[in-house]
This record gives sequence, C-alpha cells and structure tokens, in this order.
Amino acid sequence: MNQTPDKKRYLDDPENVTRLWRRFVLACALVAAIDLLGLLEVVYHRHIAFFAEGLPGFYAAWGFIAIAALIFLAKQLRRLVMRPEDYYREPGDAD
Amino acid sequence: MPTELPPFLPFLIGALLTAVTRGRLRSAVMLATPVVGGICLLGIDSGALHQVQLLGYTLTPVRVDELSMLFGYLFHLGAFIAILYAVHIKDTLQHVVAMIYAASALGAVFAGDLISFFLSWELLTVSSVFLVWARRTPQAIRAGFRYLILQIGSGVTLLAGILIHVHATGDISMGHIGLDTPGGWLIMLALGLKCGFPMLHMWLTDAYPESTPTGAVFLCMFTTKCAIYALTRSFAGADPLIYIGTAMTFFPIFFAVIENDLRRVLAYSMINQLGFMVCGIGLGTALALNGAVSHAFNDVLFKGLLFMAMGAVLTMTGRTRASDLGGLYKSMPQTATLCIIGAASISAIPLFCGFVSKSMIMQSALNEGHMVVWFFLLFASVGVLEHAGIKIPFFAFFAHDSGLRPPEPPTNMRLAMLIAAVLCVVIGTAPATTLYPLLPFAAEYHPYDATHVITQLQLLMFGGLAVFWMMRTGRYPTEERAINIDVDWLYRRILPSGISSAENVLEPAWSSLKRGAARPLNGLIALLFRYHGPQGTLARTWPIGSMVIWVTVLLAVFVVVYYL
Repeated sequence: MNQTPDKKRYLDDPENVTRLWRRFVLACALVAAIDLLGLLEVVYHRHIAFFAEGLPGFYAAWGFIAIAALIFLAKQLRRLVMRPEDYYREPGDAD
Repeated sequence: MPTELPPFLPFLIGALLTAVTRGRLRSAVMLATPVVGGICLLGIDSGALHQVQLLGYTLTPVRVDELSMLFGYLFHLGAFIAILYAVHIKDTLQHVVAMIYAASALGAVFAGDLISFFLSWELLTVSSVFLVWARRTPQAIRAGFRYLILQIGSGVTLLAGILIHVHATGDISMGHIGLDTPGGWLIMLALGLKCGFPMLHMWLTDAYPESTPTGAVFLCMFTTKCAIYALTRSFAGADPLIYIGTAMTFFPIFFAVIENDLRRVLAYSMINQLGFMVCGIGLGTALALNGAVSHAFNDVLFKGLLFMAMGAVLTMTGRTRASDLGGLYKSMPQTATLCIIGAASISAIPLFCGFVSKSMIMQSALNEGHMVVWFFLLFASVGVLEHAGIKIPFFAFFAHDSGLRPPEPPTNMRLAMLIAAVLCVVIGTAPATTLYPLLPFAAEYHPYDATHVITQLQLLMFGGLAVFWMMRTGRYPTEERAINIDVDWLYRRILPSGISSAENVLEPAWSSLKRGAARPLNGLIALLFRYHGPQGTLARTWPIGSMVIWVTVLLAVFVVVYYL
C-alpha cells in the first residue's frame, strides 16, 4: 500500500462539497427551465407521444419521485430481507 | 479473403495452446486468439457454412447471418478486453476455461440447429462454473455448485423442450420457435433461466459476486448475452416477454439499493439491464429488436467496465463491500474515472453508449402503445442511475474515507478498462457510424434529437438530485454490514432446515415403528431358526435309508390315490 502522507483534497473540504451541491441544484433548475422555453416553442419543438409527457416538468418530477419512492420502498424491503452477514456462513469460510 | 473457419475454432485452439505455454508466450497466445478470430470473422461468408449428417438429421454447426455476426463481433471484442484484463494472473485453470467459455459462447451464437446449440449451451455451463470455483474459497465452491445445479437444470429443460419440439415438428433448425409450438415454453424457460427471469435469477446474484475478480468480467459478458441472442432468434414478439422483461427491470433495483457487496449490486443491475433487452424482444418490432441486441452489445462494454473497475478494487484491496470502501479516488484516480464513465454509460446519460440503445426499447414501448410498461421502464431507468450510476462509483471511490490507499491496478487491467471506456464514449457519440450499421433489423432511429436529450437530462439530473438530497439529509439508507436474502433463501435455508426438522420429527417415529414391528418379526425369525437353523430339524443331514423309505411311502400313497 502507498504510505505517502495525504495532501488535502478539494472534496475533503465540506464547504467545497456544499458549493458543488449548490451548483448542481442550479444546473437542475436550468435544465428544468428549458421546458418553459419548449412550451413557447422558443428553443425547440417538443414532440410528445401522449398528454402527460407534454406537461412541463414531467420528466424532472418523475425522476425525482421515482428515486424518492425507490429509496423509501427499498428501506422497507430491508426490514423483510436483511440478515446478519454470517447468516449463510459455515465453519471454515473465508471472510 | 473469404474464410470458412468455424468462429469457435480459434478459441478452442487458443485454449489448448494456453494450457501448454507459460509466461510471456502464453500472454501473447491469449491476446492473439481474439485478434486472429476476429480477422477470420471479418472475412467469413454468410449462410450455412458447415453441415454434418448425424442420425438422419442435418446439423449446421456454423450458420452466419447478420444477427449472429453482431454477437460474433461482440464476443470477440469482449473476449479481447476480458483477456487483456486477466492476462497478468498466473492461474492456468482460469485462462484455459475462459478461452473454452468464449469458444462455447461463439458456438452458441453461430449454431444453425438446436442440437449444436444445445451442445454449446452445456459447454457454456461447464466451462463457466470453473471461473467461480477458481476463487477457491469455501463460499465460492458452494456457490459454484449451486450455480452448476441450476445451469444444468436449464440444460435439461432445454433438451426436453428441443426433444418435444423436434418430435412434433421434425424441424431442428435454430430459427423462430415461438410459444405456440410444442416445447416452446420449455425452451423459453431454459433460455430464461440463463438470462435471469424473475425467480430464476438467483444463480446470477449468488455466484457472480463469488467468482474471481477477472472471472466475473468473462461471466458478465457471455452466458446472459447468449440467452438474449437465442431469445431474439427464437421468441421475438412473444407477448409474455414484455411483462417478464418489465418485472426484470423493476425488482432488482430495490435489492441493488440495499445491497452492500458492490459486485452483487452489479449482478442485480445486470438483471435490470437484461430486463430491458427481454422487454424489447417481447415487443418484437424491428426497432425494439435492434434496441435489444444493441443494448446487449453496449451492456458487454459498460457492465464489463464496471465489473472490471470493481475487480480492480477487489484485487488491490481484497474487499468489495460498500461499508469497507470509500475515498479510493485519492490513490486510484484513473480507475475511478474509468468507473464513472461506465456508470454514466449504464445510466444512459447522453453521449454515452447506454443512451443510444436503451432509448430504442423505450421508444418501441411507446410506439406499440404499452403505456404502463413504459412507465415502469422509465422508473427502472432512473433506478439504474441510483444503484449503478451513483452508488457504485460513489461508495467505492468517494463517500466516507476508508483510509485505504491502494495503488492503481496493473497496467493491463487499466488498459482493458480504458478500451471499454473509449468504446462506450465512441459508440455513445457516434452511433450512426459505429454500432447502428451492424444492427440486423431494418429500422431508422436517431437518438440525438433535442426533445430526447433534454427529457433524458431532466430525468437523470432530478434523479441524481433526489439521491444527493437524501444523502445530505440522512434519508439515504446507510451501508450495513449485512446480507439480503433472495429467492435462493428457499433452497439455502428453508429446504435444508425443513429437511432437518422433518428428520427430527420422523426419526423417533421411525425408531418406535421399528421397535413395534420388531417384536412379532423377532418371534418369526426365532421360529424359522429353530427348524431351519444349523441345529434345526429340517436342516439336519438325513440318512439315505430314511430318504428311500419316505420316497416309497409317497409313491405308495400316490398309487393308492390314483387307483381309487
């Protein structure tokens, strides 16, 4: 293993992480805002296959809700299926 | 120059040479095999190249058309990357079986009849299990046996299906079979087991994470893609596949979120990606089928890349649990970058290869009016971003600093990852000149239009927003040093404990039954012993004189009776 002393990295500073997070939120807002322009047919013409898809912010909302639901449900799944790590372990098994 | 060399032959010869050579020579032989094979493949003629008469059937071990060629190119490419990745290890067993494994995969996709296909299918099973066993831990040995049993189950089911099919139709060609023909369902189930149908998927999440770091790369490339190939060939447009595929995209993402072993996360993720392909095959339109096979192509690259990145982490640190890792970007920046490219590709971010193939399947679902399916697929697409796009690179290379400072993996490993990563980006940015001309079905598709790019970015960025928001606010599930039970629990826990508790109940019953039955039986035995035992009346040696007397008496009685 490499034993050279660590130098301080950009991501080690929590303030930098917060800064990145804010920029990411801003980028998300900008990408969502394009929908409004699409509505006015300024930047691009949206072709949609059905009604819901054409609602402004549909994909953004679906992305956010899907992840939130996924993680919430997965946490509930843990109650059902989570077992200690040595559940299937037999004597003589490697770690 | 047109060749008629069977595409699997170079790899079989390569396997033989790999077994008898060592050191640099062996490395050269191994790396040359897919190159030579690939050059031969480029010049191969199309049509049924080889035919053999056997027991009244015409076997076609090599049949070349556009569909098999796509998979042929893919497997040569995949084999080259995986061999380069593995070339530094000194384990002859792994090298040889990996070559045979690649040969059997090529045999399967070029097989023109069901019997040749079945033989390749079995060879896939037998060769691949050694890549699990080669880890040589007790867990890997046991997982390998479970894997072998299920894979042989697939082989037996396939054989039964083929026998019924051939008996009923007299046709052994490997073409469209469909579910309406006799044996169709059996054949589909056999193929389904190898591509992880729900409830038949557990061998994948059980055995792949137990295999060697390099073996997992081979494993993720061949078996399941052969199944996808065969489903495309034989069951295109079978309606149940739409719903089976949708279920496959859907349920693994929940397990992937809570799984701690990052290679097992990738195994779940694999079922999810295979689900998209199976769904595309079920939709059965030219666009959907192109989507399915091109996604199989890309999956070999990006899933291979992710398995390589995690294999590199495993090789250098000896661990793959999310709870043990973190902060590795500090000493493995190159691996981290390559892993992120794989993660971006599987998440279908525009300019990466997943984007140009998965969207064909999504678009087909919309075109065919499967709205509910489309919503599920869209949900699963965001799910991919969560577990493969963010979780894998984040917990391995960032997250909390584990204090581990492993160096970068050997050069050949990094080079293999680099090739896969470059291909991911090249196919993602220029699909029309790279991947699309190889696609076997006629369908126009342009992934890069403004609506598609923007909606995809919205979907993924807000998905990412939700993940990071939950991480920052403590809502994200923590990595637990724990395992999650899956369907294999039925035969790893319930069945053995059921048998042992049945034994506990039945054992006393059996002994009391034996005791109860023994008393009259013992009496009978004693009685028989008394007359027939060594000292018994009937076992005694009789003098000849008395024998003669008795014979005379019997004769006299007989004569008297007869006279009367």
